[in-house]
Amino acid sequence: MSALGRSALLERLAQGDLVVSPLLSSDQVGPSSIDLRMGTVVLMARAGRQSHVDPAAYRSPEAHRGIESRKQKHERFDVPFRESFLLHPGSLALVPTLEWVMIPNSLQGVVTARSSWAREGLNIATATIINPLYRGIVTLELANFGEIPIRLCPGLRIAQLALYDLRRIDGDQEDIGRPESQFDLAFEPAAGNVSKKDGKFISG
Amino acid sequence: MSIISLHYQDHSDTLCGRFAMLVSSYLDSPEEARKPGAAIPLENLFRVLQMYRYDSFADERRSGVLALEGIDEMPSLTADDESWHLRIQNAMSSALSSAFGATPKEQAIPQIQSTLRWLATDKEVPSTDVRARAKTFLELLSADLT
Amino acid sequence: MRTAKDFLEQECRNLNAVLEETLRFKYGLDGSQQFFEECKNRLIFIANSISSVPSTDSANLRKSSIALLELSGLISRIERSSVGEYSWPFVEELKQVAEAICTEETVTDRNRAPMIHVFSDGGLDKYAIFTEANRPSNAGKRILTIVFPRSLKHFVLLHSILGHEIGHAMWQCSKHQLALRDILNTHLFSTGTFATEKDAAMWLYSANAPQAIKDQLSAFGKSGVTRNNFFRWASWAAWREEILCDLIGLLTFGPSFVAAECNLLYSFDAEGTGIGQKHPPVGCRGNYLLKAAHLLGQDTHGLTDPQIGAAVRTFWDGLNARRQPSPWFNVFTDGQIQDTAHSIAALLQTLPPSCYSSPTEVELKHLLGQLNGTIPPVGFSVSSDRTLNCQKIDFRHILYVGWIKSADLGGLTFEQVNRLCGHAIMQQRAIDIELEP
Repeated sequence: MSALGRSALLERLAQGDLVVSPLLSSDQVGPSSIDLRMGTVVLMARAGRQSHVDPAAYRSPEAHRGIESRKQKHERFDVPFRESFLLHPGSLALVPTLEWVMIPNSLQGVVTARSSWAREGLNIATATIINPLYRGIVTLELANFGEIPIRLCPGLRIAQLALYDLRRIDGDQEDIGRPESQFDLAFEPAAGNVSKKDGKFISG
Repeated sequence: MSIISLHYQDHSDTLCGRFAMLVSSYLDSPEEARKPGAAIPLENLFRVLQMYRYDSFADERRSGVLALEGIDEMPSLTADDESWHLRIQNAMSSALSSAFGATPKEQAIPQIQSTLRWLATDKEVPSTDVRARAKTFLELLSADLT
Repeated sequence: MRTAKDFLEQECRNLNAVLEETLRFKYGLDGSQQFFEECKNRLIFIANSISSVPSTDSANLRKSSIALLELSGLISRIERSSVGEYSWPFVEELKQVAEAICTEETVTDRNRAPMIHVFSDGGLDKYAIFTEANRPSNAGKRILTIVFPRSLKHFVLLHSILGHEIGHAMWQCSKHQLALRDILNTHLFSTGTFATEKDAAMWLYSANAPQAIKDQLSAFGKSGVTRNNFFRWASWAAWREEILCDLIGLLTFGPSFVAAECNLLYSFDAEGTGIGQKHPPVGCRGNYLLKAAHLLGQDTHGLTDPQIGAAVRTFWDGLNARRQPSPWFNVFTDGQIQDTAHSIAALLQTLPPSCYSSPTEVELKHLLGQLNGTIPPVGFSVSSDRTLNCQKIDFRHILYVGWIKSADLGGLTFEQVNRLCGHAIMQQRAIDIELEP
């Protein structure tokens, strides 16, 4: 599995099978990654509304308890351009990328924080893997590991996307149909289903 | 269900008269025109002068692109309130004629408006003659409408 | 027992407290300061009015009580506004159009844009733009309130219908009303079906009216409404204003307005024969709109690309299928429609960016290509030589291609097309910011 360099990235973007749209400036495409910008929605984990994250609430996601649990877990903020949002120390926020991303079936995306932000304490809390054939915005789980709040503005480059060629051991490409994804055609962040078919293991 | 039936009656004419009276008083004490709340009579008078200047008194609040009314309801005969402005319009014509004589309204109205502007902003002081005519206009308008 | 004056003075204090409470929330795209100050000024004025009259002056106290009611309604609507409940990117674009049209000369400002307040409410029938009255009131600065249906937050394609509401706001501007009235009296209403109330009533009650119309009129007759007094029940001025606003909607939003209006109106009135107190029958409105779009050339692009041409034709064929076949519904001649539309367009062209202009074929192809690829249609592309290109795109062109796509959804749903276009309008805002000098 090899990472795509700038030339290959631009080639795939030009061909149209890889989509990262819009790229507002050419220097967003770096030597081996593409900078991603913050979008205009912030979902903040809201302490006090839920006592704990409970997979049991997701077993019946369309029932009242499941919906209530999802909706009350986060507080949503719409942050138009030229406004800002403060991420306080210890907070976790879900934000979408500005860019719409479509990954072809021969590539896998990996999203990490940009190092300049990471040095300020801003982290993509988990290394986000974007599966082949994904289409939509990318949800970034931002955490502030610093000691002072960080002011974030939609449009700022806060993450980077590296793309890797997926090859089978015999050198051919993996033949992957469109996988079932709860986040396909996502336009904004949403809480996922942590129970994900594991209901047999959940008590309560 | 509302506890009371409030029949809305248009009071634009008496309100206009009251605004004219207030603004007339500001001409004697211009500092009063810059206090909070003074913007209301000044803006409103300016606006109705615009309507008079452009003969544009259609002012029904219409909204709702969908023709939902009348589909399921039985109609009753009521009149739209399109004559709210007549008394104001007549009073303005009369006051204008008395205060400005033969000066056409296209010239007279901007002079009155410049006086209101000076009161609101303390800039671009109109001449003493213009201020005097504006005061006469406002006093006559107020007397006619209140 | 408290007097009426005591009660009203207390209500003023109550409203002041409520107004301060509203500052707990962030409302409006531009913040709360201007709304707060305007409402405060109005409250001060009303409170002064109440305190200056004796408690026995019931007439003036009653006027003040009505003013307080209106203000309390306004404050509670402001408090309900939440940026998250409507499409703020669409509002930012709409504001540019509204501000261009509704700027007024005021006592302190020669070119003041209205204060725009947005909130969401209810469902399909809630689209509205409320302009405050021009006539004397307790308002200082006028507030334009735009209402989006709460249920349609993400359905930007339908939001094009607000072009009609912009028309009402435009009519309320004194400086435009004179010009518009001249245009209407010279062209659209100079002769023919809508020349006078009597002519319109005669047309409505004519023998070749559709049976559904006759049945309604017969039912109205039981309540005393006849041909001779029809426009005592219905408002002649309102009917004419609604026709004007349909044309302004077309001229400001283009084909997406036609599509939104046809879809919304016919969803409530499938036959197009409902007679409204303030609106002419839907069938007439659809017919003259489609005719106007055609006469303005909005349905013809001289397209050379066969695929794009086919897609655009499918869209317009779908709309034209809604045209009412009976000639009774055609209330204006082509000449009347054309002359009126061109005259209003000339007026709008002096108020950029209010006047809609058609996209080029290159733009159409690019945007539709993106949408067909399930990509939000924006002004971004990567050339074959690997150059990244950003360009400005009118949001109304995004809406247009959304509707073209909706005529042949492929694998997408109508909701998904709306979401893609809504997302595009947001992204295009970022592109426009980047392109600013």
